[in-house]
Amino acid sequence: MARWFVLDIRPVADEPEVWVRDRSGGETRCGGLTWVGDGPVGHAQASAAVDQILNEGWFAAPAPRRFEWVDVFDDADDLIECVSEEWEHRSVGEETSLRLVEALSRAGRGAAPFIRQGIQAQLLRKVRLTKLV
Amino acid sequence: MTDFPNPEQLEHDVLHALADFRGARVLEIGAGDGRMIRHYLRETALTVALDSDWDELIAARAESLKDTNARLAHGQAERLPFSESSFDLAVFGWSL
Repeated sequence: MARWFVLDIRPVADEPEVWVRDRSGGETRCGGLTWVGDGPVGHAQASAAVDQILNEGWFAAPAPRRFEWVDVFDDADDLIECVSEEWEHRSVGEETSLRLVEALSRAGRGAAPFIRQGIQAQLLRKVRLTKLV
Repeated sequence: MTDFPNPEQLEHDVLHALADFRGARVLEIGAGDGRMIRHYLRETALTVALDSDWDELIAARAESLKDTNARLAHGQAERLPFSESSFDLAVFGWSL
């Protein structure tokens, strides 16, 4: 029997946040990452498209599974540079950068900055092969 | 400092909790550098990495998918260069 599935895994919009963890495991939130360009539009369109194919009965899917993705960096410069070079639709805003530097300074030796973001994954199963008129 | 959970392992576990890749024909759309394909490549009957960016495909062949049997294809999700029902599973890995 043929199987038709779509597996959609992607970051949850609006959730990446910059944090600092100190040597004893204490954490300080420094702020979120700022959207750049048309990132929010693309995320919203993707979610709307998935909702549409589910609502119209083309696919069925259980609730998405979620997990946390953490990227750990050497220092503030490393984090900011990485976001600038590798994150197409995000940047570290001025306020978050300042709080990051302050939090690292307060946390002392052994502290690490990191980005925490939610990821969701959903398996969609095709249930209708042709459009009903 | 307390260690963080390995995000790659979390991703691997979630993918396999959701989908059965064994013997499947899988198309990953927007495969990028092929990082995520490594989670399931060995289990599939066929894996095709599709991306619209030649540079990403070249990087995939040179690094993540080096010496693997994954096939690479250039194209866009809106106009897939495959016949209907060529695959059992389409994966959008951080690409929607």
